[in-house]
Amino acid sequence: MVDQTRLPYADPANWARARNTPGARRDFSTHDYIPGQAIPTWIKDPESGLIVVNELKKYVKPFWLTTEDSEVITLQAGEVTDFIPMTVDGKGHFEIFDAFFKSQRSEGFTVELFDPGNLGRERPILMNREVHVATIASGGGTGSFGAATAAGRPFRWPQSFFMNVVSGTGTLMARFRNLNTTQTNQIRFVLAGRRWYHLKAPWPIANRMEEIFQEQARTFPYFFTTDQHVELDADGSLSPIMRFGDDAYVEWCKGMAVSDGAFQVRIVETATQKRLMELPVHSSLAFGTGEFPMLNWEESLFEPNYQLTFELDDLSSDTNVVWLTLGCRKIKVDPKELELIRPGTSPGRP
Amino acid sequence: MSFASFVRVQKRDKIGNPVFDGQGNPIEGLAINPIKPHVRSYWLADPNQVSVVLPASAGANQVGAVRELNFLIDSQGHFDWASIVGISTGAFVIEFFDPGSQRRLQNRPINSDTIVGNAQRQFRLPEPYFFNIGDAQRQLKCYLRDLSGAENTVRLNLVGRRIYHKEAPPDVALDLERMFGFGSRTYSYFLTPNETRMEGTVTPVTGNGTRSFTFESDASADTEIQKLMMSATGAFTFTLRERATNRLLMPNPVHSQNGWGDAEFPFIFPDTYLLERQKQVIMDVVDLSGSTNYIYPVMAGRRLQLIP
Repeated sequence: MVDQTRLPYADPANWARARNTPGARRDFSTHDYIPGQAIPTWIKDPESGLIVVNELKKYVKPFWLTTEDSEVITLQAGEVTDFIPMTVDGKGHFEIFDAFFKSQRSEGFTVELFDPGNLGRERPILMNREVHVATIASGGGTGSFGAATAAGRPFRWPQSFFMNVVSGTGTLMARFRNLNTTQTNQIRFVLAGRRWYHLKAPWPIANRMEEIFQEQARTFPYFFTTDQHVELDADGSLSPIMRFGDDAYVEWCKGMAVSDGAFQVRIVETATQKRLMELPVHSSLAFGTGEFPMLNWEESLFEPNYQLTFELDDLSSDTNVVWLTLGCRKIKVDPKELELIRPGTSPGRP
Repeated sequence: MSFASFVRVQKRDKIGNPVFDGQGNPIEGLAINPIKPHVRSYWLADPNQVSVVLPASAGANQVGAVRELNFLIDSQGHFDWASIVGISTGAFVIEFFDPGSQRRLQNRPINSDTIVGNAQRQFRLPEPYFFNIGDAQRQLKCYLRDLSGAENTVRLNLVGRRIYHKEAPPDVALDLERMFGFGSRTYSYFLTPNETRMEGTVTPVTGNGTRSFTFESDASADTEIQKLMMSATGAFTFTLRERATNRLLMPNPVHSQNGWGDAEFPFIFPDTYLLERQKQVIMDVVDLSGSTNYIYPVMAGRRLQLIP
């Protein structure tokens, strides 16, 4: 019988099983949850020291979230869809890690994701403007790696996005635009992650799940693209900007681009004129795609209201539409906590 | 390892005294790491040329005239070099030299296919290479020669992070200096076989023929090998054998595709392999292609210097 006054890891029935586990006394964590990682199946019971099955694991399952009614959407040439719901039922929270897509036409499509309670203001919750699907999801193939194997190269979002079904945010509204202006396009868009079936779990487990979610409330993924649509003339230049907004700190983790042809880029911090490269860099050396993104070894943290200028030059000698996306995470800051760090107490050692 | 964006700090009252709860435990809160805004991703390039054109060599697998790229790190802040990316119209050989510390980062020139990646699949250095700019500029010299037999346009960038300590508030700057102000005892290094000629070319293995390659850690440092990369014109099998102990790292020959990757997808040892100073590991190769096979194997690791 599980003692309901504490986490059920201390269930003696589990101890008996744990004694038979090879290597039970070595190299196991007592942590039932480590942010950004799969939930460990086996953990060391902090009370008994034995290895037991992580009770949390029993109530967390993989899940794919599709568009409602049909996973296949047929877009007319150049069509922008109405808002299409992507709804998670009320059985448990959903945490999004990856996105996948399929597009009948090679041009692909754009994506905007909205919070249904915020449709009137027309502001997407995960991006500042429509982004090219191949910059935030896997599915189009890249180089010699075909679309058929794209699921093996998932685009892991910079931070998981938590949909809390209890507080009413169990629905995302998606809007797509067909980038093929002459033909219809059958598309699919899927969000993959894990469900936390807290409503099915014993209350200590359910409480633990709620505790984990609340820890993540201050950070969430965000995809920034240029403020304007970018279309370079043959051998032409443009300097679009990307403004990060004043609501949060922004941490840039990954860089992705889809374009008609090669280009070169120099990224400049608008306010400080600090350059992230001395001379322009070829597009294939600065940006990846959803399947193989450019991973910043050091994520760059920008203060609220920062702005980047992208000095772009076409190298293809043809009209070149460029979709840039920076995979970021937003960090909401409590103003009181900004005052915590005082001169002489810099605590930022890695 | 990158800097954390959040740090946990003890809360303080209005006059700066640390705050404790009723049991005497410190009350903590999360705050933005004050160091993080002073660290940025950075693409290092030769400030005087976006790309370099290498004169054509006399033919494939022969080297042409040398050209130089001079990667200059200005005095705005330190640079921590993490990966190599590049694009070119053909293969080339490459050498790095750090004049500031008088270090060559390889024993022979390296085939570009083995260490030059791209943004999608960067070639990560086995260990970040740190340039402490102090009060002056630093530079990294890079010598390139064509290996393709045709004129070769190369764009090469070194990717990492800049640490703008000079513009940070004094306490943050001091912390950054404490962290990075010391010399490092280890640095990234590329090991090619002793049979590679000093300009970077190799003697090919004849069709279905055999050859031995000798990787040697010289007398000045131990080498901890992490990754294996190669470029070859055909398949082959190989064994790796320690000369000193005659110990084989595999009981039977292994196909080249199962033991050697390239710059974009290197083969990574499950555990790093320590090749002690003046020790050798022999790679015995048997060609499977039936044709003349130019094989450029490279081991990437880090050198561990003894400081008495």
